[in-house]
Amino acid sequence: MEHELVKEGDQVVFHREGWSRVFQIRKKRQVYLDKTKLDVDALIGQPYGSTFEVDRGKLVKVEAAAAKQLAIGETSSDPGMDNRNLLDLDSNQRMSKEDIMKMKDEGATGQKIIEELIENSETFKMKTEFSQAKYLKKKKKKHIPVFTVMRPTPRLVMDIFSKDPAKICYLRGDSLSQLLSYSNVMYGSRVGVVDTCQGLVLACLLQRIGDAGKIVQLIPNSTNAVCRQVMDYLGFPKFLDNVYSFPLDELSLLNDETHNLSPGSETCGNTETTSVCETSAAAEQLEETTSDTERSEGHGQGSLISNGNNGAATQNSEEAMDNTETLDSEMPGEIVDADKTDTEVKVGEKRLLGPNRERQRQQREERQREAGEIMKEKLDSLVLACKYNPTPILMQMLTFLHPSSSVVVYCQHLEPLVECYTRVKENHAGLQLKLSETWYREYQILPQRTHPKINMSGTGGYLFTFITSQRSSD
Amino acid sequence: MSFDSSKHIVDYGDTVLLYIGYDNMLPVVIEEGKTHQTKFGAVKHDELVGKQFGTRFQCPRGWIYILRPTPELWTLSLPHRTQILYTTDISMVVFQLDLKPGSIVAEAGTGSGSLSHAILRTIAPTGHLHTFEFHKERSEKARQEFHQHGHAECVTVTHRDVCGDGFQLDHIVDAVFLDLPKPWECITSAKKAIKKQGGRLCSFSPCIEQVQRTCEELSAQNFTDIVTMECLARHFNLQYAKLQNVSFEPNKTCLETKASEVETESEPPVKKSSVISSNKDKVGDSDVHQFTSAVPAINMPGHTGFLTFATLTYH
Repeated sequence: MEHELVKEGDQVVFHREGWSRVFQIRKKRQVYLDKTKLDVDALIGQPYGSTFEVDRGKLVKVEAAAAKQLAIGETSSDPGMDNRNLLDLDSNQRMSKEDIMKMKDEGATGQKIIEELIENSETFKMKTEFSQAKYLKKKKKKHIPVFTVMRPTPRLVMDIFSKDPAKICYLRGDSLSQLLSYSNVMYGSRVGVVDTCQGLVLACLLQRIGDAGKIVQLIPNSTNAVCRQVMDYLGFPKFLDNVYSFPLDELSLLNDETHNLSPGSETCGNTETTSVCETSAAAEQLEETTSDTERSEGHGQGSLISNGNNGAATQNSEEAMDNTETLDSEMPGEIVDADKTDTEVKVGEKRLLGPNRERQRQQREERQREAGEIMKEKLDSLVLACKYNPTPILMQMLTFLHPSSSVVVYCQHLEPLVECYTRVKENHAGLQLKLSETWYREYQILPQRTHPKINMSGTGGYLFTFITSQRSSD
Repeated sequence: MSFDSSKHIVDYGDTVLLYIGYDNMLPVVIEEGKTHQTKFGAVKHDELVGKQFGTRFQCPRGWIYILRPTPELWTLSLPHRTQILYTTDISMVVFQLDLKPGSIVAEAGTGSGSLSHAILRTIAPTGHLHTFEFHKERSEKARQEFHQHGHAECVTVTHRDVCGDGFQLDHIVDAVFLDLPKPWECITSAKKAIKKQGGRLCSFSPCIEQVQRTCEELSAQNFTDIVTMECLARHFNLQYAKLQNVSFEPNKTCLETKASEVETESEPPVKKSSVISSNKDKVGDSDVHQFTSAVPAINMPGHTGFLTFATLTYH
């Protein structure tokens, strides 16, 4: 088969340069795109890579040649020499905003509106060829919404957050790419991860370990629901055998076991641990971390949104739902609006859960016990990309890593990583310590007009990476 | 399978890295009866066998560590046969080309295999890398290395000048990577290599003129989403810095005004706190402002190359 076709149930990316949205294709589903309501039915059976224009609430397929024409601004034959005669006047454009709205209401196409705008522009003809091209490109972007339908990949999914990078802790593509490299995660890897980036990091790692590896997602405590929204986007099923969660407030229990009890002991299945972790100083540190977390989450970054994505999260969804709803309302409206149907489905699930709670609790305990076993057999890589203070988590987790394992700590701030660095160095816990950030710039490449893009990102966060070594105490 | 992260014990035939110091690692293939000279003295291979990766090893004149190679460490220690790509660019290439286990990739040229190792880690065990190199000895050396590192199944090394003779691949790859002097001459052949479902392309060029011509050709050949970028890693060193405080009270003994004093260290290691407290005693707490500072390198590489990415889709 030469072309992959869009099927019902697929997660699909609507993509144009630097911008993406992901929707699940369901019959009769309506989505909002640039404030226009759309039926996505029309996409079913279309090949991936097709380009569509939104024309008065309908999706119209754009043929390859036409799409190219739309992308490149064709210019009139007789452009001006330079801008010496151009005056900055409101009267340059005779069309008013109301005129444009009226045309739209009357059902004019975007192409027609642009033609009218040029016709009614005093200055267009005097502009230089390059200036005309720029004007056309700008107007086309505004009046002719065109996008290409793609299969989701981490690269495309990242663009969803370009307007709201706080949701993914300001992680930029280049930082994420290095995080993935330095973690040395490959097919079959056993990875520990802390992710408050909507599951973006988790999903990327999951893609790289394939069906053979195992991921333990570390969460602050067992009543916390985790957001794994990006896993949905990338088309991963709600429940995956090789993804576990383990609450950080029960780590000390595992540690005690490793030191005092024979390996393979069954006692770690116990989840009623609140009293246990208060015993060690380390646990206190972790509690500090947790309260920090709660504070920062109070700011409505929406990190606690429960999607009920796996066994553990589903159980918690009932407890978490109370938190979730308030947080949801604080989220920037865009995605929430579009996914309203999802929310309704979730509420339905919640009602179903009631009678099965006991069985699910047991299931969760069993999964958590397995996660504990994986960690006791030690992990190959550790990745932290979260809003929590990383140092206490990192220092606790070092016991669960083989020597010569790869560790990556991402943080939006530099200072916490300075602390991580200092602690790892003091404890002689690692080699090849690197603390870095990335300078990233894009370029406009056009004949006679090549230069760096006018705007660039000022920060993509910081990375601290190292390789674990045999500790002197070992 | 030296690069496999599930391997923990050193065995004969493994490629290991002898970690001498920061950014200083020696790649060694473990052979029976062999000895290796390091600046800390001789290392007998037989003594390394059976040791766990990551362990400290006593040499006659100091410690070294035995590390399992990763593509990133390999990039820092590999024998240079050409100019190589480094991890900042490599990471971007692997991410932007949407690579994952199972991806099929074409690469030209192979060079010293720095990028190839990162690609192979990501696409193994079900993916495949078709890599092309116009220098005969280099392509043979690369083939040997891939075998040595357990990648034999996943890679095909071909000695060919792609610029003249093309990839000769018929719509089988998900992604193409070009690191060639005239990438624009290979776009037609690259397009033919990419699957009918579409795929991604990357071209790495140091000069903007190369980028200009490549982008024109990509556009002419109906590639879309053409994005050119540059990324550079800025590394920080950790330093304890001290700044003299100035007194605002009149008639106080005027302290010698020293320029800001910084204790620079080689591996950015952090000095023991005792060092600081002894300094504190001398001058008194309030007179000196002390802090740990993350200091960017004074000199850093300012340019590696422009990365141009593009998408090919068929409608």
